[in-house]
Amino acid sequence: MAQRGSALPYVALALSVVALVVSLVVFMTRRTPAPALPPAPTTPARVSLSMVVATFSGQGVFAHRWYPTMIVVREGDTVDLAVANPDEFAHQLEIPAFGVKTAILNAGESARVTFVADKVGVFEYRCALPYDPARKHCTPDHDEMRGYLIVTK
Amino acid sequence: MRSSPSASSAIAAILISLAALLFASLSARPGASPPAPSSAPAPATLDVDLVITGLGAAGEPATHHYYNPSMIVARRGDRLRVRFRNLTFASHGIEFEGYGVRTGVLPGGPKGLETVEFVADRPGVFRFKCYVPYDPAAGMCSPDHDTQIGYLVVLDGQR
Repeated sequence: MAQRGSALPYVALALSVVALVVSLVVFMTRRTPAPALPPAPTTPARVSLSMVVATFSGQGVFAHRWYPTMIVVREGDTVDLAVANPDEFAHQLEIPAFGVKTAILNAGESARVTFVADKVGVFEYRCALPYDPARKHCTPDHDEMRGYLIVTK
Repeated sequence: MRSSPSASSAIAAILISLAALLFASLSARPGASPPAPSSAPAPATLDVDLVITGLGAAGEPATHHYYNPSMIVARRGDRLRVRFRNLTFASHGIEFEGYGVRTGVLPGGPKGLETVEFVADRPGVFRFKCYVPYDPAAGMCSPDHDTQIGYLVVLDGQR
């Protein structure tokens, strides 16, 4: 009766009960996964906004910038910019990657440009009008009139 | 054949173990799938000409200082060359938290100019802010020091 061999099945039985209890506890307390986020809308947006030539000055330094200086849209969105130049010098917005260029904007003038951001990437926009003080074209910080359009997927 | 108590115990043990295996496998969560291979274009380099500037009532000293752009957005892996230009009356020094990148102390005016360059290799939202404490006697920073904050947003998986 007290043979060692006959005790083994009972040990196995006890161990399997322990395993069952442990796995049951794990099963009962498992975390339910967070509900899936609703899928991002696939309808392209129309991103309309004012873009202006902003002049920052102080301590004898003038800095001209396209404002906003960074724009983020998704691929396929339509970008609709109302571009205004309140500066006393002429400027011209250009987004070369999308073939976008306003007319030369003299002091107080504005223009509207619309295009579809149909490719993903980081695209520079800048002033297309070189600095020419004789014609009141742009300003000495011409090269800094730069911003970025970031198109995400 | 007559089943012995030990044999039925063994069979019970096997069945219970199978049940345990079933629950254990039901509890297992699927592992994270490997990231999709990137067929994306190469990282870009962004030259950000950033001004440190301030606003106050007309004819009065500036009370609120801010940056343009006040939010820099890049995709993970893009290279950033940020040229800071200080147009204010006090000195400022800017650091990017989380990246260990900072300028020196920049005086206001033409000499207050410095470019920092780094790769935006950590995704997330990071503050950039003035690290020079307000000290009016030394012309360092301004009373609104604590709110001179901008944000660097590094997008992941957008290329």
